[in-house]
Amino acid sequence: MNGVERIQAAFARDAKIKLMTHAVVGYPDMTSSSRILRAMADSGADFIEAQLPFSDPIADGPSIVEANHVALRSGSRTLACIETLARLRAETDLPILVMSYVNPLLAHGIEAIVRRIAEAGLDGLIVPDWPDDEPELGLGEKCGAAGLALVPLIAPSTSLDRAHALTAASKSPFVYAVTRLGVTGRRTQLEESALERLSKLRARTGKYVAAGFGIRERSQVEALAGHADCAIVGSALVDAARAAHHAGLRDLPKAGGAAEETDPAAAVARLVRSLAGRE
Amino acid sequence: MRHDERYYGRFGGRYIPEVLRPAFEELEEAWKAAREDSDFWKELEGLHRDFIGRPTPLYPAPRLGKELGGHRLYLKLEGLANTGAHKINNALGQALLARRMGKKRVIAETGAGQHGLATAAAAAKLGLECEVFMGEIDMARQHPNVFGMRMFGAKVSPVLEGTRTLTDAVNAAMKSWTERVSDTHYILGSALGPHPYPAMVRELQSVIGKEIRKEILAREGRMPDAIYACVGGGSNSIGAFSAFLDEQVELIGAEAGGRGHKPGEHAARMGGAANVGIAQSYKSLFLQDADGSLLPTHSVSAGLDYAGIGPELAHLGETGRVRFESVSDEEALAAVKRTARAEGILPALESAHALALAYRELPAMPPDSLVVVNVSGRGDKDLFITAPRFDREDWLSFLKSEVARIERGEV
Repeated sequence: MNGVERIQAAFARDAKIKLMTHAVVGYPDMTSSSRILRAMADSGADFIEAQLPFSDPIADGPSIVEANHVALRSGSRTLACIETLARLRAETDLPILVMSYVNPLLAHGIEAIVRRIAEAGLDGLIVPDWPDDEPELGLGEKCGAAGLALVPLIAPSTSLDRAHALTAASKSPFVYAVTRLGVTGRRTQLEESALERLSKLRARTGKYVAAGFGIRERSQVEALAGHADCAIVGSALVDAARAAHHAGLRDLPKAGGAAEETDPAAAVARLVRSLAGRE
Repeated sequence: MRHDERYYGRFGGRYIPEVLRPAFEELEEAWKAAREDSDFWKELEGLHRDFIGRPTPLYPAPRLGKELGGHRLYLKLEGLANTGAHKINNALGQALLARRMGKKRVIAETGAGQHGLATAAAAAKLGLECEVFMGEIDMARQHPNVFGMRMFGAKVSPVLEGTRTLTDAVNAAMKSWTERVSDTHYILGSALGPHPYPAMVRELQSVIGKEIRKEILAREGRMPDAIYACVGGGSNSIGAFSAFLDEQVELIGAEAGGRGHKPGEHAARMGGAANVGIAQSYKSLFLQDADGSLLPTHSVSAGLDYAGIGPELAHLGETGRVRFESVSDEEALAAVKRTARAEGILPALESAHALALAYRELPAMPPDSLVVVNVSGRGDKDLFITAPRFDREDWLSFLKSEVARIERGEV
């Protein structure tokens, strides 16, 4: 089963709204990150979106930007991040999507890094600064050949016709629909018009729709149900990991305290369970 | 003219998130239309004269020319433009474009603060709201410009992310734009970033080269042998060089050599330390690590303290049309002093890199060479950097007495 097929199967399993959880690989350090990713898989996530750390993440808000910089400072290198994800692959059947800006991919050579990601058993790529009109490096073809889904990003300002054109050329079973203007993080008010737009996007493109940017709690996931096929949660999880990490650094060791308060993986697990409607 | 190029050799392009696509399509159309509209240029030329004070002087520097081996040396004094540097040429042009597009608000990034200051002044002149993003470190080391921007009514927003310098200010401005594209134009300050910025900024700065060309032909009756300019992102250099690309004129860019050759100690992209990359939405040469993350840079001049370089200059460097050399912090500081003493001109630390390189190379040139240095800005803004280095004790006691005076309420 290649990446595209695994993603397709995960969407097709049932009609419930799915949950994609995002983590910056190597944040706050590689060991904790590995535990956070595993906790996501064990706590109700349907898809994992794992971001390769980069110095200049142009589409991300302050929380994820800071996580990128902390991951880099802790010495998290790109290939080590992919190794961490390869180990996660051995422990879970969930689709794992790599999120990366274009330069970390380019630095290793597009062909080589795509091969590496496929060999690690990962399923797709999300590249926010890779527009469709700069095709010369052939990322789409190379992903296609490796059975990886290169996920199209659709903005609120993208016309439905353009969305159709972008997705018609893609083998990805789903699109990443950005729910509002701006960068990641700030909570999004899901207006009726935004929800309708997601439904239209699904109808027009014939793809599953995963909606992200500013989704922080279960009520928002529920509001998306029926309009989108998957909710993507990023900054809220990074925030939860950060709060526990900082508390852990400050209060260590505190006998009798709940693990969620000082252990990033436990804190993330709790929020994932809540987002997935498991508690 | 080659002003609508999207690529320069293998560099350039437009690597933007999908959310910014409409903004760039609108900008590209508006710029195309403005460029063909003689009324746009007529208004800009009127403001060049009345508001900026153009043409700026092409000053013959006889004492320095003689000292350096009997050359005819000219300094293009962009520092005499309103707000103290060449940055106003671009800021005012883009502010006019913003007004033409019906935008009520402009935003900008700034490193040394000169582009922020120029944008704030242009916005004040044209009645536009203005917000400037500036790295926290740059705000501290170029504080006089922060006050200047506020005097013009601009909001200055500190950028706390990453290296807290120019690179991060560019990211912050771009992100702010994604939240509010409908009424806002982003006035990018250098000839870099996603298309059409490199072409647009170059054309708005080409007035520098056009003036040099006209004036030097009138005075000397021939083309110069060489033109020197400092290169951060590259807007003053590409502006000065653009009128001479097809002539037999040597073009030399001075980069920030900082305090050493190790990563993080300099901002010399063209000396072999940089690699091809795509960052900040354009493809060029960047100082980066093996994983593609941009490296921290250092320069005594905030305006040259940047990991990337404009795509056209990267291309011109690769083809050999422009030669790049690096100049250390110490050489630049020495050039500030020398220029001030010899000619009564106080150059910006950025521009001092171009002067220092000319001072290094002129003695080896054939006598009677005709050389132009683009002095992109004046050095008043650098007082807080130069004064403590040139006369530490005096500056320290001045600051202490000022603090005491203000605390006593004597202002």
